[in-house]
Amino acid sequence: MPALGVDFGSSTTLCALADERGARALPVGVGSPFMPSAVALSEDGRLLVGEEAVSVLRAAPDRGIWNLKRLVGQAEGVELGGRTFELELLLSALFRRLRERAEALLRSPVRGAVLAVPAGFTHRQREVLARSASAAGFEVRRFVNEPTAAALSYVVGRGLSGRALVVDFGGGTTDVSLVEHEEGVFEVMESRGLPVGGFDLDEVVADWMADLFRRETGLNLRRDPVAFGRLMAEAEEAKKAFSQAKSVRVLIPMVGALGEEVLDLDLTLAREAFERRVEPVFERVAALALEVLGSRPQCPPDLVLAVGGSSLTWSFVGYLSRRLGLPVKRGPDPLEAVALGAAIEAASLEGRGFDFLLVDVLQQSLGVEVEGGRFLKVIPRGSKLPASAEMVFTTVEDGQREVEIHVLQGEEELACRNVSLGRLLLRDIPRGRRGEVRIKVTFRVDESGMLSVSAVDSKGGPSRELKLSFGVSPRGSRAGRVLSEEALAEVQFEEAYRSLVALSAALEPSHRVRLEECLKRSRSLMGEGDLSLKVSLSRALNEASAKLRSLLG
Amino acid sequence: MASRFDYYEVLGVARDASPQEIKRAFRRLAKLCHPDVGRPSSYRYPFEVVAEAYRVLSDPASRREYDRTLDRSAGGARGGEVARGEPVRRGGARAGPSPRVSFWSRLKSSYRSFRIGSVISSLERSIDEAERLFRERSSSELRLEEGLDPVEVLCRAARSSNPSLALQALRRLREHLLHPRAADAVLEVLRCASSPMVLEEAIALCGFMKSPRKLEALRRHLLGEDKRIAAMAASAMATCGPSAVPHLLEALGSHPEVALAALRELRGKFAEFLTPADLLPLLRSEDVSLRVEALKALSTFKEQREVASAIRSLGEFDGHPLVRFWARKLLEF
Repeated sequence: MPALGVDFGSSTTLCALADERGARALPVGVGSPFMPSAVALSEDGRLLVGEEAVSVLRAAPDRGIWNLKRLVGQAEGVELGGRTFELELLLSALFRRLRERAEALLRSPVRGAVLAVPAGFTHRQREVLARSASAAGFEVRRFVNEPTAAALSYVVGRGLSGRALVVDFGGGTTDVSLVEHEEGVFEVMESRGLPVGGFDLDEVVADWMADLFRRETGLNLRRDPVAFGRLMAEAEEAKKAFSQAKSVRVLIPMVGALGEEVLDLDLTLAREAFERRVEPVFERVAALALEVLGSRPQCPPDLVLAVGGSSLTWSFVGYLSRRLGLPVKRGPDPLEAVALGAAIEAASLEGRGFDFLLVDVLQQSLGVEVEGGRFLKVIPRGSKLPASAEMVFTTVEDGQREVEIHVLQGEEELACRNVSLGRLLLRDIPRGRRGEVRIKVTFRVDESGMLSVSAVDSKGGPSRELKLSFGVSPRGSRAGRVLSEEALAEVQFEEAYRSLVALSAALEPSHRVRLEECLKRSRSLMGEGDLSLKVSLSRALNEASAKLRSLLG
Repeated sequence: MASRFDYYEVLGVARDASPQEIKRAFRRLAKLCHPDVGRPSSYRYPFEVVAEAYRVLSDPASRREYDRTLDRSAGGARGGEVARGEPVRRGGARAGPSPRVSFWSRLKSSYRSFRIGSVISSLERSIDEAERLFRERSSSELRLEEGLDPVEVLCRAARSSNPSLALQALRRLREHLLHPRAADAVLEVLRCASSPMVLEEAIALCGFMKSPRKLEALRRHLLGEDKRIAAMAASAMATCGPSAVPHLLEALGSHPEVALAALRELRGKFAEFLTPADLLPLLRSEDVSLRVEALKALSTFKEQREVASAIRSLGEFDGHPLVRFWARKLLEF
């Protein structure tokens, strides 16, 4: 029972298998490897998947949904034809169909899968996919980031080595990764992502057509969701057609009505104008690629690889190569690369045919919210996975039994601008004065990008595991306080300072003067100093206070 | 902040290992301790530590930073040993024993007092040391990374709110003043800086710059509260050419220190713009040097009757001998 590589894309889904003979895509679609990632509700209330769903969607856009991937982690339910379905149910229907078709092709049961996801997918989004897949009978062995998978299929799949910049310009997301394959280790050095993709190109073209149409007839198609849906579908076709044709004629009969008159849309679009229109979208991708290159100036790539369906768009490769100043290669099969890479990783994990070690990185920093709504990074982006980090928390009230920790992902300084992963509740904290309790929380992100958290209280008696769960506390939220290293130093400084002030009263005058001078100086240094100074000052004061206390009895 | 691990030891490489060696060591160790390898790790450090060591040592900037902390903690340990020997000499017992207590309790209390003194001395030394290291750090913050434009780095540092850093950056910007970004940075410092030392340095730099906007920036300081800075601004303004003259003449009515600087510049570079009407009021100033300077400036106009009489009266009645001397001397020629 070999494990499959699955590329659940925004517009199509495909799966691949790798073994000693190499990696190949399985034709799970009708006559092709691509199965549309669409789900729709038929007139008689059945859930349709793939090509069948597409035919429903074309006629009645409100009865189906195509871009399920964009909803993962964003919405719980989806409305189809007036009924609300759980997103996970729709996803698992899609995965089940995929598994059934793969089983029919391979004539053997399929259980394991390596699932490719955008590198920017959060822990929660990965979890939603894992649950849906397991409901469909797939056991997700590993999540692999899409650009990593694409690079794997190109570099490892052909037995190459060296450094490559992989630009994965997909349907809904774009990821850029700098990877290196050397001595049996496939190392991702840097990886960044943006929510920009082929859908943005379609939207640009659809907007353009709507503009032209409005200028011609005075009717605004953007106001009519059904008409704009048809426009989007035609825009996608036109975008693809520009790869071959210098001009494209778009004909949509009966697209709208102006008074009594029924209007057809009939436009001819020129390729030069198309290039100009889509350039801003290309520029965002190019800027991301430059950002990744700039973050590792000492590691120039041997190869720039453009993969993903949208990289086939006319003039994209030329534009990217102009902006980067480097030749850009298109992968031989940009549409299948991700699935093939996932399959290669699956084969490597099972020790079938491929032998290399994949070391991926965290694409977005993981952190917690601290006082003032600021975001404190716990595991910074670019950390090699698995990665872990520890933090110390304390209570803000006397006798507080619960502490809530808001876990987020992102790069912004303000917590509210990052993506919330959930609120973590630490319960059964031992009673104590506020600020006295120390809870050590360990965050760990595993090889699949999944987050796990464990906590022990590190003060008083043997440390023990604390219960914790994601979710909001039933009895109202209880704020906690992160003791960053800096805050910890400050708290300890204050404690030592107070105890020294108390002790100084018992000293003879000459000593008291010197001690007071010390306290004054250290207090003013604390104000201007950096972390390291604060740590050494608080340590020095603590030491002195402990010694004096024992001397004075 | 120092790490718990020696990263060179974790990767099993020498302190002077090349980037290639570090990378190779990471690959070798990853194949031993990454969870994907499947068998229990045979390396004494977990993958997380190996990855952290690799992250720090593979980036030239962070590696330099780490090397410095290693050096510092080695140096700190040596300093600690020296410190331990010292209290014997310094923290002598100075407690005044009360006459009625016994010898033993006196000895005990004087010993305790000695111990307390030594605790305080060691606290003093720790604070000294922490402060010294901090100053060293903040002055060494200004490092020119390879690959970055040095002017860019200096400009950024010059705008820093840390005065010692900004000062250091400004001093080094002196060599790059022809660079337009450098001039911009200096002007921005002039506009925003709050530390007088930084401002003084920026104003001094202004004198070497050719920027049309510097006059505007300096003018604000000419009218500012701080007399010393205003005087410096007056001197620097003279490099702006004749357009500075109206402002300098205006400054003559300001604080004596500022007026003196402005007058010196006017005399040196723009003497043709000075008129007796500007100078005569200065003879009544309380400041001796200003009166002398004004006298010297007036000497070119001594053919005019009112100027001659003003000088003569100063030669006879001024309260300061130096002013009387100069007034008489000027009339003689």
